[in-house]
Amino acid sequence: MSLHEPDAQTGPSAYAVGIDLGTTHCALSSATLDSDDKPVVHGIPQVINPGQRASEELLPSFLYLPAGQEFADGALALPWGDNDRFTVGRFAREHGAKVPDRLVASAKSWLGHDGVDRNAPLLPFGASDAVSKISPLEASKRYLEHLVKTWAHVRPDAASLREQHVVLTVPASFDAVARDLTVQAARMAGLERPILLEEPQAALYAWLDEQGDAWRTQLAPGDVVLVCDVGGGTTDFSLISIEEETGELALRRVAVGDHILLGGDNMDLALAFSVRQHLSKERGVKLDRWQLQALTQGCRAAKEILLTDLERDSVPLVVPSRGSKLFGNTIRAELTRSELTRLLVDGFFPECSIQDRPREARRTGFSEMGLPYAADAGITRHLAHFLSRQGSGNDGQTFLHPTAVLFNGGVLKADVLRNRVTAVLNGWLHQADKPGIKVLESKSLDVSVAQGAAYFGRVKASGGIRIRGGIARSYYVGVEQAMPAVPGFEPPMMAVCLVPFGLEEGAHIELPDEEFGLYVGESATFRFYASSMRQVDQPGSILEDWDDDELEELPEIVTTLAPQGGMVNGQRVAVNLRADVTEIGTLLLSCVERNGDGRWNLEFNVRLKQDEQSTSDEP
Amino acid sequence: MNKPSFGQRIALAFSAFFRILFDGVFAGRVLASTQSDAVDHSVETDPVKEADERPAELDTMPVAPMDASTHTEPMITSVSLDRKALQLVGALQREGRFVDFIMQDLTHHADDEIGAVARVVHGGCRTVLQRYMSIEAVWPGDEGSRVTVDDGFDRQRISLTGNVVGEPPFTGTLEHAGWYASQVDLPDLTDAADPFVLMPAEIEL
Repeated sequence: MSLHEPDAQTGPSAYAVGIDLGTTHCALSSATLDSDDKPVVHGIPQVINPGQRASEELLPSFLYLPAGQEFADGALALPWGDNDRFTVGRFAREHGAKVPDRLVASAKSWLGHDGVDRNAPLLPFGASDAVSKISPLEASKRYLEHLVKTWAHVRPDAASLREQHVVLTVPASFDAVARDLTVQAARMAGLERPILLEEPQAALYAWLDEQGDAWRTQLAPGDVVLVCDVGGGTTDFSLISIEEETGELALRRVAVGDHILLGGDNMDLALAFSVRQHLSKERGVKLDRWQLQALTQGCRAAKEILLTDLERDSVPLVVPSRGSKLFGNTIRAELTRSELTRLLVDGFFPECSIQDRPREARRTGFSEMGLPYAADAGITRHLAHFLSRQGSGNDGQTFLHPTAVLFNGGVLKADVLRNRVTAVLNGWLHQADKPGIKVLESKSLDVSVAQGAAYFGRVKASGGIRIRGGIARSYYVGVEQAMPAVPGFEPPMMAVCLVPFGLEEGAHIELPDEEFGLYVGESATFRFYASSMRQVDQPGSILEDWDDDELEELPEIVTTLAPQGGMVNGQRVAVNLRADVTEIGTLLLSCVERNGDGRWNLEFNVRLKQDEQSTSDEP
Repeated sequence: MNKPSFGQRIALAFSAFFRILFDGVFAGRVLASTQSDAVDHSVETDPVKEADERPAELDTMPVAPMDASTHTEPMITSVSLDRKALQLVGALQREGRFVDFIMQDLTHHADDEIGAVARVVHGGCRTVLQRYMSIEAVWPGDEGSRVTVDDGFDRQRISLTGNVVGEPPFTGTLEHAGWYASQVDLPDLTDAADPFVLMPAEIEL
């Protein structure tokens, strides 16, 4: 396999373009393929008020669906044309805060949420039926479309985005289904072959680019870099080890964390809720939605002041009255350092031991339709869980010992929070008699993922050091255990490993020992499982039972085998399962005929099963 | 304020004439801006007819609200030229409640109440100015220090006060370092925007 992959359809293209499709913000960056220039970050035109637009570095990932007569004609127009159906970006976010029923937020988290039908129009979540809702897939497509048009606007002389080397970042914790859906959204937006890159890897690429050759003096074989990425809506961990291959330094991504819906927005809300509680308890002041919104903004600003100016003990908060009379109904409060430390530093980044575990979510039946937010806000406890899971078993070691840490995400711009995470990590390492961790300095924590993605696009096309790692989970197919039928009992399932952790792009696996008998023209169902912690299983390994947190069931695969090459409906065909890791970073599953050339591609059925849907529709 | 040349004003007058004639919304705005009292929105007027009867005076630049009885058409020139200024005031209001603050009578409010509100105004207005402009000192240096102004100094950037006699170089005390907007980048304003609306009336349903 060659690293140079000139695209047969479009010919060589001039730019590598990195797209950070974030939960709360998107960013766009590009680098020319034939130079060493640093990737540039492009301003993204967006409506900032009706009839006004500006280009900003970040595009808030919010989409507003206006009511019929809400805005004047052309008020939501962008440089590339009019659009009265929706608007994305800053105005969508700001105005939508006042009209929550028409605001689509966190579309990306919905795209990664397998408890819902991601093709179904369910956003804004919980909005009344008067709003014509859109699916998580459609929302993601619209953000990407906005970026496709932005590209044409900022690079009018270059070929369109679909002809460039586009790298789209996804959380490392996205499973095969969420990755597929991301690619599908990109295709709907006209991007045929986006290459997927995990966000923590993109952050490390940005660091490598910033360092130039100097990185080789900062890291040595045996080092393990922990990438700790805390964004607006999600927290993502990865481990990347430095190895030596034929005398050269090589990078390998060895582990990724679970999908944790926990980020900066939770922190601002936590502060606002606490202040609101003080106001209500001590002064009997009740805040309405608008006031709480204003208070949250005030808390965000106050937080930033307290986090940067360590001399200050408190910052006054003022919630003005909503009407044109500023005075009279003003609510005053303050955010104190002790409050900030208690809620933010100790609440979200508590000092904890490596044995601590995040509190489990309570399982409450059908109320889980909403986003599965993390039940425990302690990011360091999630980190303890992550490191313990990866490292146990080797020489009595209880957790994997990282030697360096790279921070990413807007939240970690604050020294106080970075220092806290570093101190907690050092505490764990110290107990294990290991040296302290090295902090890799990174500059632009907001846009480095997009820049790193653009850098990676160039490296992939033109050569350079790459992070190896392959697929981030192992995958299993469910097979019923052979046993006599017992009425009222489902036969127990076994999980047979199909894809081992780390299978590299371009590689494939076929399971020769597991034969499946399928009938042409009839539908067949496969159950699928994924694991981010079972790294030792090899293709064919059989699991007879497992813990909930070990294996996660994915949407099942339902397929109908179309007749191929002279087959007739109803005919039984013996097939093997096959998995390919595609060049763009997705997993392709297929059935291969055992004694012939038949081959059928399988797709995850992201729509809910009929019975699940009808049950959850009931009140 | 940017004063257009006479030639520019002729072109502007013609375009304004036709726009008033054929654009009812625009004409209504022109009419509203020439009346000193607030417009009663419940009353339909015939702006095209009214505006049409007014002669366009080419060399008046408005500096204050005009009395309706003067029958001049001052806002025609300023409609195009002041859109950006109005846009900035609108942004200051949106982020920093600037107009609310200025329009309110402060006489009966205590200093600490004003001080609390000033934080909202200060924080928001600062955000706006920092977002859309780069503002720096004209004369970077400590105020109160002795400075020398050489011959050929920029008379727009430097204002000499006190005992101004003789020829440069002048020596004096830097009283105010000055402010210079080295870069201004206000958002694009499309025809769909009405910058005269500094803040829309908000009606919660």
